[in-house]
Amino acid sequence: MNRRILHIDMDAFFASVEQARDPSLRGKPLIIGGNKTDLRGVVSTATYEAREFGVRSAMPLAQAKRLCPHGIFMRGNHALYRDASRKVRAILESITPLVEAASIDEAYLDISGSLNLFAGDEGTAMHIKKRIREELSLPCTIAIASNKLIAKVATEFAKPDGYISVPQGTEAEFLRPLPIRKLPGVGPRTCESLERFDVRTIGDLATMPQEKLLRTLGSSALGLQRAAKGISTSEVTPHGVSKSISRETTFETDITNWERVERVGVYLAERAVHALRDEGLHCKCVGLKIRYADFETKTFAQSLPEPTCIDGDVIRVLRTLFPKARQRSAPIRLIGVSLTSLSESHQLQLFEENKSEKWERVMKSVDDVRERHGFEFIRTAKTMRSKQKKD
Amino acid sequence: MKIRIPRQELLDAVNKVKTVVSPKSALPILSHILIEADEGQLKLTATDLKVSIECTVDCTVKESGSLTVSSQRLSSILAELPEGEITLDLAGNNVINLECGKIKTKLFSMSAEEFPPVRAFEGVEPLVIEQKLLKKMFQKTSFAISTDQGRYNLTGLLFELADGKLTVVATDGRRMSLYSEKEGIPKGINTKVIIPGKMINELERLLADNGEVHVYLDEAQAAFQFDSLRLVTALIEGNFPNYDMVIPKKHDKEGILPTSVFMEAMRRTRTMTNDKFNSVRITVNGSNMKLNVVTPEVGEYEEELEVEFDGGNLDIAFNPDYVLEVLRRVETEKLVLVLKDASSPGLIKPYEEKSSHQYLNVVMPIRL
Repeated sequence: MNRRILHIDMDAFFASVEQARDPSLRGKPLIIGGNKTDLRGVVSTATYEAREFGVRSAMPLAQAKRLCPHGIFMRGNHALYRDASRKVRAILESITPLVEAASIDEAYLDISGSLNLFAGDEGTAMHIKKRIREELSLPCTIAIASNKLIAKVATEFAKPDGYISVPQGTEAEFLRPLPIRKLPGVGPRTCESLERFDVRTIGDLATMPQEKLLRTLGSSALGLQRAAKGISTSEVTPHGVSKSISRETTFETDITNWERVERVGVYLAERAVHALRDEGLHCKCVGLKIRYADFETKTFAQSLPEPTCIDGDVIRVLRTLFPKARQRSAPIRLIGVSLTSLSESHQLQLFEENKSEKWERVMKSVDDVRERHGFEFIRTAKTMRSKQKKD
Repeated sequence: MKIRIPRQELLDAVNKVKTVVSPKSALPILSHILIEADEGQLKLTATDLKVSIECTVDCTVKESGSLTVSSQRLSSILAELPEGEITLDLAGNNVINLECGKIKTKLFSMSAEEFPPVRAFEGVEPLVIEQKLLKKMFQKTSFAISTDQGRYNLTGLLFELADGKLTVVATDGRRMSLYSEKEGIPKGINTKVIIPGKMINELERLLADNGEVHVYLDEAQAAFQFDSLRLVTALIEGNFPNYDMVIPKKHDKEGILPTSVFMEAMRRTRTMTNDKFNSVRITVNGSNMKLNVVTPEVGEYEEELEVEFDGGNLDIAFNPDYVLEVLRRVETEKLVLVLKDASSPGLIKPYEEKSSHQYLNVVMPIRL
């Protein structure tokens, strides 16, 4: 049986969810990332209407405002996007249990066994697109190929609201004319060194003699060349749980007041732990990311003795990281908190289980209230003074 | 100081004491062994300030006295020397001459006065127990001692004497192992101390299968004296958790399983787990027990066992390593497995007639 892998990527996901919620936003240049008065921060998603003005993801908001002054700027509502993501996933899981969520707006499906149910590649893709459009009013792009790599590259090709199928045996041919930077795994630096040797398309890399490749890029390039030939054996792994959960924010102006930095850090930790519980996970490692005014970015991390999903445990560890970041006295531009080493299951404790279980119940009730009234409805006293975020 | 002794005898003694020496100590003297010669005997002492080991051997003392010598140097030289008598002679300037036939070496000594003294326990009444019994009690339980310095009070073994019953308990907060014995335990001494894990490891290594051990205890230290050895340790200060509270009292769901069959099955499940996903799911349905492992990006394992199980169906998950470590120490043909629900502790104990001893293990499940 031929392997057929479907890659689905939601088009301008956050912006599309906003448009589905408020149809008056349809067809308008909508930019998610921060509202009009936010001076700093970056664009997280822009509609295709906004992209026409040159607005891109990860672009500083100020630049986006210059390019698209009449754009509609919104801070975004992640709870809403997560909810939409879950609904999309439920539709995908009705096609096959082999669904691997790659991110909030992207997934791989191994449809090798379910092709006959939906009349081949196109039938399957159209069925999914139709259901997502009718049930959730969201656009998406689907690519189907013999492996994850080709499917992923092909999706970019068909955006927005598109569909493409790369037939078995034509993988290398499909990749050949594409610019080298389109190949997953080729970042700006690799791209630069490849271009120095006149490797500009994926086809150039596929046909480059191995000895020359080894000389220029080292042994890691062999894997890259395999990819350039369209070969990939990576499986769709349905149990994929999130690898990390992080929350970060850019201050409006660079600040030196560490009391405020820490308060915001604790607030971000609370938001991250809230998301952690929402996904039913525990974390074993807490990270702090600080970007100083000169853009130097440092990360600090510390493991927990036991996995947790309780705010207090995470914040206690986070507080041990602040002094390390403080060793540099430069003003702070950005702060981020990340939770890693995530797991769904966790070892119960003999003597403390009552304590942590009690806290889990307390936090569950807090989460329920937040579900109804918004995250800001219940806050710890410590973070009350930090700036409230409103859409 | 000047002595003569067969090489092998000195090497054996050095090997018994040197394990407590920490190779990277801030205090140079702690990398040395203290050697004292008097009245036809040689006493070797090594310490890391918490645990100390003394070993006494017979030798020819030509001149009594004491010296210290690098533990690592001395043991490696002795291991390489040919069979025969050796002479240790402390000359002036803290130089030790070690000679064996035509081989002559010089080693440097530090002042023996610098060596930290080891508590003597004079006037303390010892508790006398069979070496074999104590060794067994440690071997059955010490695997559960915590190595997490963040939970300092759990890094040792609870040693509790009450009304002629000795109970030892080890736990790392996730599982707990307990062994108690009434036979051969002297009455009249009631005490409760925490002995560091390192000391327990040394005792397991050095205790023999015959002879007695004299145990000396006070509030801060403990000493174990047997054969030619004396081990002294500082006790762990702090409270040991209430172990009795976590032992399941009501036997809600109880199964009797053939130990080797269960152990082999658990060993097989272990081939399909990894560091991140280390759990085996146990589903009991009537007399059918299903073991099931699902590890993302690795694979799956399923095995069904016929078991005697009373009390109803159940779905629970455990770290297979925790179960296996217990099973390896259950010597009876069958074992008793007591479970309640998916988030309550499980109890594993040997299936045997009522006797003077009690051995039980409590393991907390993994919540899926």
